[in-house]
Amino acid sequence: MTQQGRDRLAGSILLLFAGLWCWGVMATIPDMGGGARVGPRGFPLALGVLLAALSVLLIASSFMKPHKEAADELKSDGPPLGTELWAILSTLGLLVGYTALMWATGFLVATIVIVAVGLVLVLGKRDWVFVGAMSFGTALTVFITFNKILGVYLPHGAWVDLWF
Amino acid sequence: MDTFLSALPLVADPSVLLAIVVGSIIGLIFGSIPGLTYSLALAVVLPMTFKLGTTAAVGMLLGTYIGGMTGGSVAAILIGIPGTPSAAATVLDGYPLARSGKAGLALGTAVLVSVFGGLFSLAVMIVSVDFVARLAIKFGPAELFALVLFGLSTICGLAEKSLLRGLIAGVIGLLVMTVGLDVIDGVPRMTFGSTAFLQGVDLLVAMVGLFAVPQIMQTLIDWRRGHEIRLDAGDVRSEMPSFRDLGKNFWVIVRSAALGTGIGAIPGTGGPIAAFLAYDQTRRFSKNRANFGKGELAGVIAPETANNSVTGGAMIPLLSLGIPGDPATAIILGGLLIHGLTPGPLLFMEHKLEVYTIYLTIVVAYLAILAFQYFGIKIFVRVLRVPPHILAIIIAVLCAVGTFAIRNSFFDIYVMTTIGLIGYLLMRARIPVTPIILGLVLGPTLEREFRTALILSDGNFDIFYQSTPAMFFFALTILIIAFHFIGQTRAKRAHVPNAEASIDAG
Repeated sequence: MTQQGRDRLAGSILLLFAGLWCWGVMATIPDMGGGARVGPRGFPLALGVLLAALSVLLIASSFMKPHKEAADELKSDGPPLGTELWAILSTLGLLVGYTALMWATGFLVATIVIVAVGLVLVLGKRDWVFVGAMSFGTALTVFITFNKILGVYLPHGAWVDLWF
Repeated sequence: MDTFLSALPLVADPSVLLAIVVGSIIGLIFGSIPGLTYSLALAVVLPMTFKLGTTAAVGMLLGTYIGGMTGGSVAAILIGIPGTPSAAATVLDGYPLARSGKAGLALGTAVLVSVFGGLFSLAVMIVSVDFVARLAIKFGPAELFALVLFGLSTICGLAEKSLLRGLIAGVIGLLVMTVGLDVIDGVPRMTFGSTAFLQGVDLLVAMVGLFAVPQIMQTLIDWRRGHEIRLDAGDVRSEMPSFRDLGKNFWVIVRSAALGTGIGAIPGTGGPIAAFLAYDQTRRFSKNRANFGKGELAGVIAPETANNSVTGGAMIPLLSLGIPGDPATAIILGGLLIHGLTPGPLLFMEHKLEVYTIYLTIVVAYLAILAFQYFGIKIFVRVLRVPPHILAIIIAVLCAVGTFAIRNSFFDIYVMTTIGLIGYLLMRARIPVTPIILGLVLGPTLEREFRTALILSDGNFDIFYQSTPAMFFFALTILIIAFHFIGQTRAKRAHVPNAEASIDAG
């Protein structure tokens, strides 16, 4: 997708969001402003309108002919879609998976598993010694730092609960 | 003097010193690796500080900030690629110096003058902050509103390539922060009955999500496309510059420090601009002008002094007015707020002790960095060999754990992830993240002051018109926006390279 196409898409999504936001504000926030007093509706509504206006400007700007510097920038390529999707899904997958795993098996197991998964599945590392060292190393270091030194409560699992 | 003496034992506490040192080292590491920024370091460190005492927490944050600013020179000198945008000018003479076998000298000089620049700006900061705070103490809600508005406009305007996108980002940030319980009237806003949203979006969660998650994705993409930059420096030692070298460049150092401090104090401008301006100034007035770009030591001294002087300068509006000047100070502002310290004129009245601990913390951080860069450079360089894509996995773990630690909530991690995804998509739409953060941080203040002002004046807008400081800041706001608009149009016609664009990345 060209940069201009992206701008139009972004502008449209933002405009839609701004519209929904304003509707939400009008529908759910009671109007407590009396006279010139600005109530709870004021700011959110004003911001929603402002966002809508700016989104329209963004869409409009994508139709204007780009000046030289902008044109050069537009030519520079973003990452190929496949790579981008891979990066996004990997990151989201790791984070969401990690969270779910932490809930189920507790911090230690989850960390060891997710670092290993990250290294092997996402990055394609095959050196098992390395993967093992990194997984256990990370889990242990974070455990000591957060749990022992900082006194932060790290989750115990709901299904698998190790005793520490 | 009393307060200073009371602050000393607070900072001299071993746990505080450790926090500062750890923060500095983390900042140094992140600052040195191209592709990892010190904003990312701060976003990762912020949740860690949550459980620390106030002094230790602030110490860790400041250490990370300062370490990050200083670390950028390492990669700039060793491989010719700046670790942070503020080190871009250091490459010009630092890399040639390294190529001619003088890497040690360049590194040692860079860190020494960085420390000087930082401490110089600290001294200026101590004097100015008090002065500005005294002026600002008389500000009422109308003036504060105008001031915060000005602060926001500078970020949206000066720091971003596209004014329109900067404004969109700022508005998004402001908008998101209205979710939750209305502070003045107590009604839930846009929560749709969900108790989870009643507290609104947690600032920390948003910061980690916006700064860290898109970076993780970008690092993975860079690796996959073969664009990853590895820091492999071989055997390196830090060497102290001779007294003669320093003496010859005395005025360079002082001028660059003053320049950096001044630029740092202006919200929206920062490290990269200060570094390039200092470099340019020094080159113009130098007798060895022809040698610049080929390995002239002054060409390293000027930008490195300037970019670290920015740290003290940027703290001036932050501490005295509560206005952050760049993403890093925005995160520090968030950190201070979370620990119950509200920067602004009241900070000096109510928390004088904490302010002095901040000053001392900065001194300790700089000393720690100096020591580490000289004695620990060998270990340091080895650590830097860890490839960024592997670090990305570890950073993901740290983000998740850190976010969880805030409220012991798995839900928060999901929110962070979602915000992170949105952040990445916005980044691809070329909508900058910094103004969003600023909107998040300053939004509540902006609205509160505005509505309080109107309540005080019974709905009469005169409270704004009759206040000279308020009108002054409004005028500045309009000027900034107009300035940027004209500058943008002119720049496009003359295709002038835009140094400010790199601020967002730092």
